[in-house]
Amino acid sequence: MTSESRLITFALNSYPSWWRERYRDEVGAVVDGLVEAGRSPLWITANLLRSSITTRIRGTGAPAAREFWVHRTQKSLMVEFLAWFTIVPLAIVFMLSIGENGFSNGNTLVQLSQAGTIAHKLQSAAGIVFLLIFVMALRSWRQLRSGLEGQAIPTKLFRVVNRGAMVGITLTISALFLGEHNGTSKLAEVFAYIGLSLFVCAWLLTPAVISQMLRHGELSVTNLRKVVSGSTVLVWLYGLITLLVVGSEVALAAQPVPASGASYLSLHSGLGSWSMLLCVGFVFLTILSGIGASVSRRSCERILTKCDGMNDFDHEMVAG
Amino acid sequence: MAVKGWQRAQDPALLVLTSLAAGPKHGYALIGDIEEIAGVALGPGTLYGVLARLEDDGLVEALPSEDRRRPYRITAAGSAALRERLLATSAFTSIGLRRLGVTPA
Repeated sequence: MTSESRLITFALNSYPSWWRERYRDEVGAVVDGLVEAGRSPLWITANLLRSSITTRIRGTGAPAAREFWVHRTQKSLMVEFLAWFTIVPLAIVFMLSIGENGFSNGNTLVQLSQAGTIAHKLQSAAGIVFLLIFVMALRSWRQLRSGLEGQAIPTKLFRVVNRGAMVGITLTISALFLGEHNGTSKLAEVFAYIGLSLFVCAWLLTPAVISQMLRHGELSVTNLRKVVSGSTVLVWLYGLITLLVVGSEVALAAQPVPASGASYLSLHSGLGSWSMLLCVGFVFLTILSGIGASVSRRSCERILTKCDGMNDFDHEMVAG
Repeated sequence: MAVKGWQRAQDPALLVLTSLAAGPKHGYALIGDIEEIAGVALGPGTLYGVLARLEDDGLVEALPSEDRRRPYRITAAGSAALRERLLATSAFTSIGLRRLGVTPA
């Protein structure tokens, strides 16, 4: 097997399974004919790869069964939820870095350049968008839970994660309380470490809980529509916060060196060179969740317009 | 003088339906025919993306497979959709030609 035919095989295997079952042999015959006719194998590979991506996003040629499209929608929603669990810590890191720039800590002596003032405004706007993201995500989470309520989903992991998070939050608050009254005590430190560790573990395990729920349960069309429209709003908010974060980092980088005796407290972002990585993270997650939102919206539309096996309630919803 | 870039603006679904209007064809024959009638070289990925979409919409149907090759045929709904689209395009074409002062042959 030559490297060129290996590339073509790789491109053909990059299609989803339903497509391969139906079209792989036929396309293989066409590809053989084109190669024999002297068409460039690299051009064929590029064409197949591009088309496999659009096939995965659009679900072209997929079975018409309703269950298939419901699970496809739920899987793409999972991608968006996973993105949210990464965007939130990134946004927190960004928010924590703001204080180090010196203009949100109430220091009136700090002089800001024009670039610094713009960065300050963008950071404040990012804070508001972050709050909106949090509220929207909680709303979607509630819709998801109410949609899956009463279904036979394994809940052991959910209970463990839920309790872990609760104990973590309680211990962290207790540590703050102890620290306030007794100064930095050893007990407060231990409480804080255990509490934060439990909370972080719960945070890391929550995406697994959500994927378990979405894999084992099936949302009704009504819930699916609500969660999909909520997630579309979330993606727009991700895009907005990404623009604000990138804009503020660019503005901070443009801030000039302070004159002697003046102070900007810091010349660049509090994150320094990490700010580039932060921006890349935001852009990547926005693109990822954007793809997830596009797939879930298309799949949901497909359920409403073309799917076999819709129940009476679904038909009522479509008619409504 | 032909403007090369304009060929890219042609809709692959319209090209496939036009080609199938002459009779059933399998993938490789479709690519050859489209290249001949429109000068557009469709890739195998693009062609099967379009065929899958047209099949989903009931505009074409697959015939029993011959070896690894499966011919496709335009359906009645596909013919109606193609006729509608071509008539709309020809009305637009006539207006454009009239404005240019060209009398269609």
